[in-house]
Amino acid sequence: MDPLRIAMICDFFHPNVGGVENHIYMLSAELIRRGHKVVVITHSHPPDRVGVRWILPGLKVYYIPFPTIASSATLPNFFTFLPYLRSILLRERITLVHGHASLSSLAHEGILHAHHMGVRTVFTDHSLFGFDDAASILTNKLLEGALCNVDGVICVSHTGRENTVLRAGYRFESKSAEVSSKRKFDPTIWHVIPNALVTEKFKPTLDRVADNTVTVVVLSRLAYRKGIDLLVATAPRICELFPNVRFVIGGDGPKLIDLLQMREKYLLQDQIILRGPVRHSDVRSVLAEGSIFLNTSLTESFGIAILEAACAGLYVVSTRVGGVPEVLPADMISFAHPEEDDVIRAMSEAIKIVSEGRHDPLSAHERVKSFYNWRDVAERTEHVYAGVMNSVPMTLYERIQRNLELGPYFGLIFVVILVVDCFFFQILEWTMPREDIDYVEFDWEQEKFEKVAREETMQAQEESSQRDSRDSDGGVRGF
Amino acid sequence: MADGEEREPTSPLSPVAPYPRPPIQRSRAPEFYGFVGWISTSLLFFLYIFWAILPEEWLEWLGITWYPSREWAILVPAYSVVLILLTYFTYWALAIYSTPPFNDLRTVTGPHSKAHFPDKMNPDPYLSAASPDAIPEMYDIPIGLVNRVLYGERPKGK
Amino acid sequence: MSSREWEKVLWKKHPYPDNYIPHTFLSSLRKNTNFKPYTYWPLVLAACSITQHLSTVFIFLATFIRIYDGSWDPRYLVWSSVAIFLLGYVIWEVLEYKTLGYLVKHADRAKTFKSSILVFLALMALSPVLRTLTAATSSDSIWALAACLFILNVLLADYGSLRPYGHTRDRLTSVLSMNAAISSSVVLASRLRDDLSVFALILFSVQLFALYPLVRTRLQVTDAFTYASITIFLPALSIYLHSSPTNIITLILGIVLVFITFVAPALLLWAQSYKNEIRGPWDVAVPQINTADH
Repeated sequence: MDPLRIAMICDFFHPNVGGVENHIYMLSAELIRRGHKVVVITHSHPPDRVGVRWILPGLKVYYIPFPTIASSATLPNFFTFLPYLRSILLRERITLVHGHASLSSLAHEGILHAHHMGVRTVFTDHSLFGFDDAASILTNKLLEGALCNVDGVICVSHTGRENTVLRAGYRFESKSAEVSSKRKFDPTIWHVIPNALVTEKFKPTLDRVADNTVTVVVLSRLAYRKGIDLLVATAPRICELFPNVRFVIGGDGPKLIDLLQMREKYLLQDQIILRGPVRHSDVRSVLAEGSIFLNTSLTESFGIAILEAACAGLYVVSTRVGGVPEVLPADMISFAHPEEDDVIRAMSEAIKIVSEGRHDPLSAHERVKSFYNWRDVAERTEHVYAGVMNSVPMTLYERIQRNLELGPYFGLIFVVILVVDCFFFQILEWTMPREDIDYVEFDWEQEKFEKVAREETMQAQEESSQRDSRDSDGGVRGF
Repeated sequence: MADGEEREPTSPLSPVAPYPRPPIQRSRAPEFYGFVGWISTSLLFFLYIFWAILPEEWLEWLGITWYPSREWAILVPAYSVVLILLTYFTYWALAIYSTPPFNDLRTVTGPHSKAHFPDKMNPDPYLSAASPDAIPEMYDIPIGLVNRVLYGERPKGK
Repeated sequence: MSSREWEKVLWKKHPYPDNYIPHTFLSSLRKNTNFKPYTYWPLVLAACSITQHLSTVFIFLATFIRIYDGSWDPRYLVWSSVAIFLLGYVIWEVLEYKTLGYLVKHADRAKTFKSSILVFLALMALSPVLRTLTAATSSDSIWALAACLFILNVLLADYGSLRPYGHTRDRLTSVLSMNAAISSSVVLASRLRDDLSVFALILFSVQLFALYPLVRTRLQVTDAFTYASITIFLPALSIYLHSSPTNIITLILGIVLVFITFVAPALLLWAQSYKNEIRGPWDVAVPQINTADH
């Protein structure tokens, strides 16, 4: 397809670490490789991560100096981002905006503003939300407003898509089959594209010492939502049932104290090893210690940790929640209900499978490699982009109509926001005219980068060899 | 996999957990809190309307001899609108305040950026990233390299 | 390959496009899973505790007005408080006997009387202090403060019945509620002229706001008929006490009480038809942990 100029917009990006951050980076890198031009727009990270940075392989990142309010998200306010976004989209000649993560207000604003500049929009939702607590009700309302302006939606799992469709405010009469909604529901814009992983980074270890110890690895944030209560309840019973089992637990969080207490109470210091916080680059080395990966999460939209473990050749035991059942074929994973007895049952099964040698790490790695890679993800995302670019853009009147459908009060509020946004944009057009904008004249070219990188390296080698010889001279003289 | 979740047991060999899973009893207290919230907000709304628009004689007839001055019925909403506008200006002001000037080094790099550069240059990560099937690594590209790629050759003789 | 049926998995390569919506879409959606419709009369009975609580607040206010304008002698109030206390204690013992099945021990009874005499004497000794507590504050502020505290009391009060297995630890909100009511009566009492009136009013407020809720939670589980008849008596008393000053207040009070007892449960029943609770695999699961061995 024709090269596009894409702006990824999200509150969560490097130097933060996490699933969304990594997804955006890998997708952008792969799209750049496929000949598109990609910039990322995110908020700044004080003290010195502000302005424009270039990241390998030629990804331009705009760090907008907005203060964050909670967990690295900016204030949801609908308007403040517009002046920045307008300048960036115009100077980079962006044709498509891709927002990520439903808690990112920058992404929501990007989708709201993009149509002023004739830019099309895609949104990727990475997480699952409930419907019954105050925070979800509020964020779901904001999402509802954003998603009625979007041209394409991508979710990371089928369960995630069902959840996002419901959160976007579509209520269906019948439970399944003919989706007849009170609001007009366009099924063609809802896509499912899974996450992927760099399989080369998670190779199974071959030189494992052959003894009968079975090591169970747990890598997760130690929080209630990750089901650490289940782990605390089941670990001592598993250790009692199987004296040859060893737990290696990595991660940090509020539930660490419960784990420590459990270990103290049952005197399991030599069977349960706590590793503390593990950096993402060290994940593989921790995974390499074990042969079973246990995930006790209570909610999970995709479960990238499971995939990484499976790729590293571990047999996976997981609670059957959210999108987890979709991720791996049934012979690579044992499911358990989030119940103490059932987790023990699944773990016993897994320990039996692993100690009988019925799980082959190498073939598991090869299979995961054939299931998921970023190239596929980028290709499928490209298809979404192509569909969006070929669709007919909504007119302003259509947008107002769709916003009004949101509800008698909320719809009206959103229409007011939409109209105020139009006025604000016109004011910006007048105060910061397009001809005054500093347009980007030179684009990043991969061949040129290759050439320059080779030259630089050669130069650096030359210099270092000169320096070495000089140093050795100096050393002699010094004596 | 229609209804797959309900039909397919997770434990075909050793069913310890009861199947299908019994529905979880959740507390019904939120229903009542919601109901009280709904009733009281609508009540408060009507009280506000009556306070704001009823003529004074009517209120006196109702036995209300004292009530807060009615100008507050306009002032409080007016103040809150201004407060919202103020939030916008404050947010912009904070954003502008934390924008470094063009000649500030922070617009390019900074002392804390060291973590974003590769710590060993051998083998050169930039060279390997330039190859077509490299695994992308999240490293900053130094501004000199960027400028050479974007704007061409460094002038001879530095 | 192309004849392959669609599956809800991500690892398999499908011939279907990414925006294919299968016929099983949203089949795991569950609506109103553990929904049990309410019936009217049990709801009315549950609303009775709210009515009773509101009535006690209004009875207290009426008593305060009477003492404030001097139409009641505080000595009568002291004597009637003592009488109510004794009567309430007898009812309490009967209820304990009915619910637990054995009589209250003699030592416990002596302890109760000892502490109640202690409270009685302490209040008596403190009443001169309490009378001058807010001497420097204007009456208008006191009325506003008392109203706020009573609203807080009504909002936070524990309207539930007694938990079956002596789960007696009070929640924070119900303790806060009681404290709000007592503080409110203290600031109101500080407007009175003589020590005896202050003493009488605070004694009465302790009866109403600290002791009566204890009896009420027990009454609620014993017998629906007695409970309902008390619910008729208390509002009637509060309306009667308020009937003399102005008729409009009586009317408003009557409307509020009828609304809470009869109309609000009906509204809740009606609102049930709009209930739409959606659950699905995306919900945060509730981990089930065997509690026996912990």
